[in-house]
Amino acid sequence: MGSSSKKKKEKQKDFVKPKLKVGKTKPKADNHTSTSFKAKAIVVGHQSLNTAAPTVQSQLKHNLTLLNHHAYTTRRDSLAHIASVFSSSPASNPPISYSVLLPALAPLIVDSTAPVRTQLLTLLNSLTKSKDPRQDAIIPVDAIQMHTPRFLLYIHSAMTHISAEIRANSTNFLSWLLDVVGEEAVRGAKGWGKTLKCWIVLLGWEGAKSGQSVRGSTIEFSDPGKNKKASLQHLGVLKQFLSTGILEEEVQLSYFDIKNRSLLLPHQYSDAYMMPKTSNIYGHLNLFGVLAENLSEEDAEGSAEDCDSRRRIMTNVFEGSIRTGLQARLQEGGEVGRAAGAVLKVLDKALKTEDNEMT
Amino acid sequence: MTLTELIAVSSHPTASSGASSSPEAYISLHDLHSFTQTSTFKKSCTPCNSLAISPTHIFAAQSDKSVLNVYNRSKNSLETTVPLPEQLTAVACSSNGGIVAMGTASGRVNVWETSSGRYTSTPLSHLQKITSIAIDPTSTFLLTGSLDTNIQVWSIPHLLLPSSQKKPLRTLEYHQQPIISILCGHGTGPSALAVSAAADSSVIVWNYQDGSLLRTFSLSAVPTCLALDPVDRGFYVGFADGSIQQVEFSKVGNRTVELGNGTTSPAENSGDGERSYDSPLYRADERHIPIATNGSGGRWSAEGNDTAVTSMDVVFQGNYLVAGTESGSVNIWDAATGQLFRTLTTYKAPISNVKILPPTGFSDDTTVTSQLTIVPPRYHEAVKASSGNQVDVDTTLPPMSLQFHTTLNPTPDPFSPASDIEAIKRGVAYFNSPSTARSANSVKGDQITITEFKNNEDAEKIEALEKELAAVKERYKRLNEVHKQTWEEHTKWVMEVDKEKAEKMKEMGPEGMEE
Repeated sequence: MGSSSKKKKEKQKDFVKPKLKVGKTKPKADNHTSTSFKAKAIVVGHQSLNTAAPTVQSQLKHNLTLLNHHAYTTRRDSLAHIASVFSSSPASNPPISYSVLLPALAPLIVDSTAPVRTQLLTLLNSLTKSKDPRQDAIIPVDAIQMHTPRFLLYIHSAMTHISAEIRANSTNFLSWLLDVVGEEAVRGAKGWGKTLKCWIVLLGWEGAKSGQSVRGSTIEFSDPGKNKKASLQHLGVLKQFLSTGILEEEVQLSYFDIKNRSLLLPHQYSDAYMMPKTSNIYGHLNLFGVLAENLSEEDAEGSAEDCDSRRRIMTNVFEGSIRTGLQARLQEGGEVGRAAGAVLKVLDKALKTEDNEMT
Repeated sequence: MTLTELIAVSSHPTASSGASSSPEAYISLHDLHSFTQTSTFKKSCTPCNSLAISPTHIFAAQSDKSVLNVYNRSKNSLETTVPLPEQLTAVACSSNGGIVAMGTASGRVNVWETSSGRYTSTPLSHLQKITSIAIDPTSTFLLTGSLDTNIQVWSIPHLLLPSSQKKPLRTLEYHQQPIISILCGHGTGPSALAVSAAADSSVIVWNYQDGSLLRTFSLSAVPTCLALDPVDRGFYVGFADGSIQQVEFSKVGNRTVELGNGTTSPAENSGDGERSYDSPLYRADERHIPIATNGSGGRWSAEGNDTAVTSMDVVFQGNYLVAGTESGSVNIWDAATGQLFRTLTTYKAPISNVKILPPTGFSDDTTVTSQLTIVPPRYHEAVKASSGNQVDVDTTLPPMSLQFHTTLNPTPDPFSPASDIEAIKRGVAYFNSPSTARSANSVKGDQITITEFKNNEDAEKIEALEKELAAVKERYKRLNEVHKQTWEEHTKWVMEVDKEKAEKMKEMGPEGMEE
């Protein structure tokens, strides 16, 4: 009869909200589910399904592609891996062809980070080990000789780079190249003339002609201590470069050699008619290259096949600026001055011998 | 003077992947010094030894159809396809593109002169298919090698003469297995060489002008291809395992003596006390001693290059060797050190031909006239002829005297005394009548027969015509006389008849008139 209050109350109960008490948490809803557990799982990313370990070749190839990774740590680690693989494998059976390896290593000369460059230098030194007479180099000199133009290209761009650090390290690589291939690095137009131009830019002697005073080095380092050390190193390598290029050493032809020579060949120029013994033997003719338009450029990049033509290029084009620059450094005194003096001595000795021969 | 040197590479996918319609079968030209690709000719499935290149055109035989594709290099497009009666297996062309020689699968040799369309083919002189064909630098000789282990030397002018016996000049038989490749040397006269490689692991050097064997070189494995140094100092052989061997003619065959410091010197001939410095190729007394090439220097190989070398050629400067392999990569090797320098390109199909074109850009190039139009061969007679018969060359065309003139007597420098003499000779020939020009042409060998032939023909014609004319005149005269006589008689007879009538009329008098 009528609406009982019990029913009413039950209906009302549905719409009753529990009161919120201060300092106490909100009461849980009816449909609350607790999600307080954590599922434990082992996530394996890019898993390869091969049962065999990757071969040395494929690993090396992978590392070679990693050499232009964006992170410098990856690059450094790949270089280290390559060094370890090559130090353990025999020289006669390289895991990958040198024609693939060396062109991939060359661009790292102008790498922007220091650890990569130092790692590259140690790798190159360990591969060639030219300073160690007891042990044979891992890579035969022939293979490196073929790629000399490529290495020179990167060394030139390093020597004239905007970034000061790269410039500072560039001479290390030039020194390595001179150690390994010796005269080949200064033969040919690109080797001698262009490198001398880069030297002048590197040492800031561009404006230094006879008469003009040397303006302050346009490429100043911020830290004078570093400046001195870098300068010292540069001058040392310049001395090595000049002595390889224009200083002819007296070669003592033993009696045995002379006798052999007449036995081997009926004519003194028979060698020219045999198959070539050095790579790119007609490269200096520049038959297939691009002609230079600027006359002074042509003068500087003229044929530099033998010592005399290199000396000639030196005296005609570069001697003035180099001498004034060296004099300026000499006057600075100290270690730098001594090094500059040594270079001047080499220069004088080389050019004076030519004068002596001519008179 | 900057020169450009191009290299042509053709690829040949294996038969299963659908021949010439596949995109992997094409011929491309690359620049050898900037390593860029200059042009491509698509849809050409060219097997080994079937690519020939002239300064203006490319001739490529196809492996799936019996046609020869002719591409125009200046327009970079396919100019004509020449359908042929038989499948071609080898193609070669002369240095200026004037003659194209083709070898067929049955052993026949076809020669096509591109400027005029003349076409001739030989009887089946080889017993099996021809594997390799080569033309010498003066375009006078043609060498063909086939599966039947023989090499035949043909004379091109002789082949192109009308109605001549199509026989080879000589046959060089010494190999015991099929010939893989033949190459002609770059010298002429006494220094003419031909080098042939065969499946019996030997390479033989011949003098093809007198057919003598100069020297045999025995290899350690069966060669797959052959390449010759630009100045014939040696040859290169490629093997099935991807390695290449360099054999230099002057360095092999000498008995060497190890001296103390590691250098070697040629041993003095025991007993003679004389040293012989002559090249091992031309020592007549050692001719039958094959030179083993195993010991002298190793083979060049590089990691990652272990597929067979299919085709090779040497660069103009002689310092690089370009080799195409079965895996599709074109590698450049350094000839002096034996190291792999770089890979030029990689194709997706095996490489079938690698040909380095002579460099262009020399200052005297412009005086050479090159052929611009190709006339397709007219070989309807060839189609009609049954196998074994010779095909006569079309005689209505003028003889191809120009072809040999430029190759046998190259035009000298305009200011030299030789060219003045040439000009005088030409003037003399011009003012002489054709019949006496025979004696002035004594220098140009094969041309004598051609010009004589022409003069005889003309002279005969003139004689025949004159005779005819005389006979006709005679006849006319006689006929004329006969006519005159008959006319006179006729008139006489008419006159007599008239006279009789008149007399009769007189007799009859007026009576006749009345009736």
